[in-house]
Parts: sequence; structure tokens; C-alpha cells
Amino acid sequence: MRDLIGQAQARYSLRPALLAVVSLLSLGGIAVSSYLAYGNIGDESLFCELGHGCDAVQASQYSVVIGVPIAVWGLLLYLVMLLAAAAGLSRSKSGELPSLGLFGASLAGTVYSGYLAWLELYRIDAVCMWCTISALIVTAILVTSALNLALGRQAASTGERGVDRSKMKARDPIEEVGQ
Amino acid sequence: MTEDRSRPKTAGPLLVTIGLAIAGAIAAILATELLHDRAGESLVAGGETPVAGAAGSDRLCASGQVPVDGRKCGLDSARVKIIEMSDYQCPWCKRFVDTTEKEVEEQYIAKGLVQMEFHNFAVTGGNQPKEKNESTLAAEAAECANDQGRFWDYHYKLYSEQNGENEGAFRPEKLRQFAADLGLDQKEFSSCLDSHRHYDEIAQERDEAIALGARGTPTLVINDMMVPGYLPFDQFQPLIEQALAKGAE
Repeated sequence: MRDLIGQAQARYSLRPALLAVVSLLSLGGIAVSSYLAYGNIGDESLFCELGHGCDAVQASQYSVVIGVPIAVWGLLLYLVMLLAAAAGLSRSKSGELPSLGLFGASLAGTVYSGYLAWLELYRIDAVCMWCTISALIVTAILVTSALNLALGRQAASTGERGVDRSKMKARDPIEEVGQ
Repeated sequence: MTEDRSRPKTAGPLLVTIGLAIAGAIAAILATELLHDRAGESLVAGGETPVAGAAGSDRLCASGQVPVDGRKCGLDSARVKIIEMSDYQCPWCKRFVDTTEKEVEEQYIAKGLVQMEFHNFAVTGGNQPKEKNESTLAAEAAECANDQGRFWDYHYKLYSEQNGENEGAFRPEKLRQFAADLGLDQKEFSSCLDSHRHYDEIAQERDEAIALGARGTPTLVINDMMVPGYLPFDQFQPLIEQALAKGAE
């Protein structure tokens, strides 16, 4: 029994760390997409050390969708993910929703980033370093949020199999704060 | 997180989340495919051809699909700037505009990599007085069109109508007719042309080109590299690539 509790606690204590990683990655994504939005809206040439495709991609007709630069859409997505991670960290009573929302948003972002990479390679014929960095960030968020979700579900299942939850709560400082 | 352990997790919410995420991504992809609207890029790579501009030109700089600022065509942020010093009566200039320039537009300007700027180098008309010099008359007419924001339409029109040197192809009546064909404000255009409003600027541009070292038409400047005379695209393209590579260092 103690082993089970220990394992559950060990898993569970990882989750704030994972959410903190997601928050940092989201902040990185916000910085990158803000820079891209600055370049797109202001028609500014971007610093593009690897290759010279940033301006080509920024000038492309695909860089604006429904009148809004894709970089701004990306910025909004990163903000949503940052808020979801913050909601998870705040240990509010919103249940699994922040973890699911984070996972869903990062999954959608990763799939869409894959499509954008395809556009760059096969239609625009230029690769934008910052877009690639953004794609890597959102993929990293997907992996981290999937792990966070899986640990949460595993911990819940472990509890359901007969862990004494009153003891777990007493021994889990995270849960104490959340109660 | 509190309630994460309060009840067993079923697959339902997770599947719904995955479904919504995939649906959202597909919707975003469809929106990008159907509702993208930035002027520029991939007209060539996407297999499309530039649409005709107001003048019916199929040329990119007159199509409204790339940013145009007077005699500049392409993004200000383009890594490579090309200056084209040219004369509307010069047959090699026409060949450049009809072939090399067209490829540059579609392969580089459309992708935001190059910005091209036209400079008048009106020398073919010789020492004719300004009323008879069809090189300067054509250049003045293009500047009058520029005053109405239609430089590139008129630029292409002039080259498409080129016929001999000082033989009447660009006499004032013809130039006015071109303006009418393009739907310019004819009264304003005629006033501009008849007053030779831009003649001095054009003469000054010619002197500046000579001071820069231009000795013939056309003369191209790719960033800081001067390229004298017409080059077909397959010889011109490596120079652009060289400038792009140098800019990326």
C-alpha cells in the first residue's frame, strides 16, 4: 500500500514541474510569434540566421488568414496554452479540464504546424527559422502536456484501486494547498 | 487537479478532446487554403498565374498582388534590391523587361526576396529637343502615370508598344492614347505631359546613371553590383542567388 501511495505521489509531484515547463515553453512561443507578427504587420525584415526564407514566408499569401497574420493566431494559441497551464498549476477545482484543454490545444497546434511546414517546403519553397522553432515548441508542449495528462489519469486510477486518499492528501503538500 | 483523483478517468473526455483538436486543426488548414489573403508569394510555385491588373496586364507588378510604391515593386524588406536603369526606346531594354524581368518578378519578387526599382536612363532619343525626343517623352509619360499611382501599368504598356527610335511610337498623341487605354485621368495626364513637369528629373536621373558608371541601356544594379547590358534570365539568376547568399551570411 505504501508503495502504491509513494508511486502515485512521485508521479503526481511531477505534474507541477511539467506544467511549469509548459508555461516556459508557452512564453517562448509567445516571444517567437510576437517577433513573427512584428515582421509580418510591419513588413520588417527578420533576423534569419539559418537560410534566408523568413522574408519569403512572411511575404507569402499564406501568412495571413481571414485578414489576421498567422503569427497572431499562433500568439493567441500560446496564450491559451499558458492560461491552461496556469489553471492547472493553480490547482483550482476545474478538474481535468485544464490538462485536457492544454493537450487539445497543443495537439491542434502541432498538426497545424506540420501543415505549415509542408506549405513552406512544397509551396512557398522557403523555410522560416522562426516558424520551425515555433513548431518545435508546440510539439514539445504536446509531449509535455500528454505526459501531464497521462500522469493525472494514472494517479486517479491508482487512487481508485484502493489508495487511502485521506493519507495521500495529508502527505501531498500540493493537494493540501488545493483543498 | 484536485478532482483528478476523485473519480476514475474514462476515455470519453480524452477522445472528445482529440476529436475537437483534430477538427480544429482541419478547420484551420481549410481556412488557410481557402481564405489566405496576403499579396505576394507562390504565384509561380503554386502553379497559378498572376491575375490581370486593372489594365489587363498579366505582369505581377501591375497585378496588385505585390506591394508597389511608385517605381518600386516588391517588399521594402526584400534582401536583394535591383535597380533597373532603362530607356523605353531601347530594344534590349524591352527584351529584358519581356523576359528576364518577368522571371525575376515571378520567381523572386513574388516571394518577397527581391525588390526592383526602375530608374530612367533616357538616352536613346539622342539630342532631339524635348518635344521630339521620344525616350524622354515616354519617360515623362510614365512619370505622369506614376503621379496617378499607375507607373507599372504604363511601364509595361510602353514596352509593349515600342517601335523604332523617334519614329512616332511615343509621340504625345500616342502617349495620351495609352493613358486613355489604361483608364488614367486624361485631363491630369495631358496637363502633366504637356507641361514637361518631369523632364528635368529625367535629365537628372540620366546624369546620375552616367555618374554611377552606367554606359549603356539597360544597366542593372543588384545590391552593390553593377551589371551592364541585357542578360537572359539563366545568366541573371546566378547573380541574384549570389546576392541572396551574400545577404544571408
